[in-house]
Amino acid sequence: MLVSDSILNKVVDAALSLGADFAEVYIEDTRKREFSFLDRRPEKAITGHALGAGIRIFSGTEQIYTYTNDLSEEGLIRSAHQAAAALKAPGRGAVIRPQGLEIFGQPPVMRAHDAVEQWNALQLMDDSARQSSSLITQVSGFLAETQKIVQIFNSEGTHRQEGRNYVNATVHVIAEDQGQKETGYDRTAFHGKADDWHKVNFADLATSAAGQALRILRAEWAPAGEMPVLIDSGFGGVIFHEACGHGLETTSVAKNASVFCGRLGERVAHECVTAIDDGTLPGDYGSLAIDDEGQKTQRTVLIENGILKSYIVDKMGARKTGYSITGSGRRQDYRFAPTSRMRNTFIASGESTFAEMLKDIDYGLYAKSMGGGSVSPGTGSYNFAVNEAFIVRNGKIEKQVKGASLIGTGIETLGRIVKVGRELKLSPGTCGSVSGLIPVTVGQPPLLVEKLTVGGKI
Amino acid sequence: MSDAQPVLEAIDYLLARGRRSSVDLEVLATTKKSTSISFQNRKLDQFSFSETRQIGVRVVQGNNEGIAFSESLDHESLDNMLNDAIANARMIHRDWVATMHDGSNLPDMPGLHNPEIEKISVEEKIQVARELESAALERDPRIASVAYSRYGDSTAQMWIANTRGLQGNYKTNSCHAYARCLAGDGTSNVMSGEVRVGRDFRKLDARQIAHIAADKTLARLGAIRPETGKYSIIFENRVAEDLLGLIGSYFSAKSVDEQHSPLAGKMNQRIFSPKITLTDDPFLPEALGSRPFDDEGYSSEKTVLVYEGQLHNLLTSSVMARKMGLPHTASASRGPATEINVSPSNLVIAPGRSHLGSMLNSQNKVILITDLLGHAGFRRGSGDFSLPFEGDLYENGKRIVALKDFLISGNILDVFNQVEEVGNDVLSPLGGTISPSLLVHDLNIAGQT
Repeated sequence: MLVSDSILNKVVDAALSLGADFAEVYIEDTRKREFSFLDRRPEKAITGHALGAGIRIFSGTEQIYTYTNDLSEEGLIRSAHQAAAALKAPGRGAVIRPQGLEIFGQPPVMRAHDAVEQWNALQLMDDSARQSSSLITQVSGFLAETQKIVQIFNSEGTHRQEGRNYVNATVHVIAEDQGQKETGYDRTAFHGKADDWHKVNFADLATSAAGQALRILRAEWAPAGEMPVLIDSGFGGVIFHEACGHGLETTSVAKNASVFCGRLGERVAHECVTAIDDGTLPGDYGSLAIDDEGQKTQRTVLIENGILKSYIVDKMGARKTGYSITGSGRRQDYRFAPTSRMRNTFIASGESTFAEMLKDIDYGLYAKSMGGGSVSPGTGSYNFAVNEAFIVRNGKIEKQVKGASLIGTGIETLGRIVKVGRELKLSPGTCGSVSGLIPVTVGQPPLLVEKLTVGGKI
Repeated sequence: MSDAQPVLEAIDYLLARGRRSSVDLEVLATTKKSTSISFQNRKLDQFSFSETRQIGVRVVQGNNEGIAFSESLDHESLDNMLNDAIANARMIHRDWVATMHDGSNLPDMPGLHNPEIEKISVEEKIQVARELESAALERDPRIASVAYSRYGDSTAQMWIANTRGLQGNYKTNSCHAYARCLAGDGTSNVMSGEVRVGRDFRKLDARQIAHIAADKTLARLGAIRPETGKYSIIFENRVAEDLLGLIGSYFSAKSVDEQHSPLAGKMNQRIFSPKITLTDDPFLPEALGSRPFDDEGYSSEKTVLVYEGQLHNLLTSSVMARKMGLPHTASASRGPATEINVSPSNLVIAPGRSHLGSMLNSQNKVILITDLLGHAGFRRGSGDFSLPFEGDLYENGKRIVALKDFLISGNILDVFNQVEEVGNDVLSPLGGTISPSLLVHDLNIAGQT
């Protein structure tokens, strides 16, 4: 327990003292170790300890949030009084005292200064990437270990704590030929601790990034215009994350700033599309036992056979919209009030084979691997970058092209997904929104979109 | 006890420990207080305020360097942090290490901190936040909602000290207000907004910001997708600032040294249009990147990076200046939790002579780009990009229609190299980049086919 329940009870009482119908205290203790490797040698070793508390009170749909890293009893109560003074609500809500602490997740990891395995892994990534080709001129590798403990205590009787351990390995590679320079990138991230580095195939990760850089180096520019696009599995799922997922969060829906507002039960996608946001998948980067509001996480079917079934709902979102909470209140850290966010979000497997989808394309794009993207939920307009793409002509993959991005609007694109493949893959990512950067996974089987705008050169 | 007292005590404790153990160490600490208020449907939606602090230590032992940070200031946490930094230093051996700066009398820079902001009552701040939404809604019935609006302010203080006697600190603050509205025409929704940042609360005119946001949104109704093709483009000043922000790291000597910048080997060569002169200027009180000294404690310098298109200088920290044989520009940047990097303060493109109106009039057909909607399609290593924008189509100076859902593709250095005209329309800065509008011909647009 990071802070005792006797102190937390006093903090909640202070937060409710000037009238509010809900109070919550979020305590966080995060320890990090980061190692990076550059130019064939160790570049950086940083160790850190983040510690803070967020205090939130509601009166109806009004929300006050304060945060501090003074975790003394006096500091927390001062912060709670500040929150109460800002609200000055008409009446105080009832308090249900929590009966003991429920503990979830992984136990904290013993801290150690020894990092031999980490430096060996980084060396292996450097060696493996450089062995791919003499055109590889730079390799930078990065490993991060995060141990996060969150404790949530509220006036509705919740007192829960979860330990979340994450590991994250990334590699960037630069390939250069005749003055032309391109980069490749790969990453893995999952719930784990330093003992779990053996689960990562560092050589494969580096070889993959090097291969990407080398292939892009030889590629011509992508064509520009509208065409069919076959989006591959795994991180290809960023298309659903951007095109639709953010628009289903009550953060947007409650403001009527989503094209999906008021469309529950309606067809919003082609009937071949079923989409799920699942926080319960064991070990996946976006998984949680409880969300950052202390709610048990769950599997939420968002779209079933093209019909909109659920939004992504946090506690305040539920107050504003009346929809049931889906255990999706998430935040980067104590500096952010939680909002409705995605967890592991993916399109479910369909029935088409990759060859069948390819055969349907006379002239189009095969988007093999994706970069990041963004969306404006109010207009539904989204975009994302394609790291590796190929021209498809007469049902066959032809040459590789570079520089492509895709742009469209969510509902239009969901309606244009005409085939869904069989092999679902998930990929870890980091999602940025109003409550900060959070770990997620995106995923899908291969998808055929009959028409999308591709950015490139004429 | 002042808010700063625990931080000052922690700094003294760490320096004393360092001196006792004969460890060369540098302490960097920050505190931040912030407020943020938003309204939704004419009711207070969220009120947030905070007080946070972070302290970090950088240990140098010979050519070894280690860093650790903490948000807890009790002696046990500080001891653990220092031990971690020493342990990390054993793992990191550098050929070139940033030794401790033993300078004293660090300069002050007036204008970065306006104490008046801290005297503004909560009620006045709430009134600004309320008006940002209500004035936009009342501007026109077609404004369906103000999807995002916020008043915010923050005050930050930074301290640097080391065992060689360096001691300095400075305080900055700013306030901001923005509104982003949504309007629909039955077939699709459009959004646009306005943002203002400054160090004078009294100059934040919430009503004006709301009206501009509403008017910009309404002007987007009826937006269409442009035909795929090549177009003459004017990047409006705010968008040009965004583009400049994308390439800010290119001018870091560290980025060049690590091969992450395409400017390697380009010193004294033409990299931009001869109409562009670019300066890194840390002395602009109104710009948010201004600082009296850098994060190693060296007094700030103004640096001409590109003069009439030619690359003249790169930005350096003390160690990058020594390693690359370049002038030291005092451009080290780090936070308590990060290693020393090299970053611009405020990147400023000198204004040209052209009025935006005459730039629009001079072209038969030109697209005025008013918004950059995301950065994901920018490949930093090569400079290639394919990015989403919004804008307006103009023919012979007359606005024809708003444009949406299109991508512009090319290479960012080519864009700056092909600038034909530089506007004279520099605005008060929103961040660390300042640019007038820029006219470029023959850019690739992907829209409808």
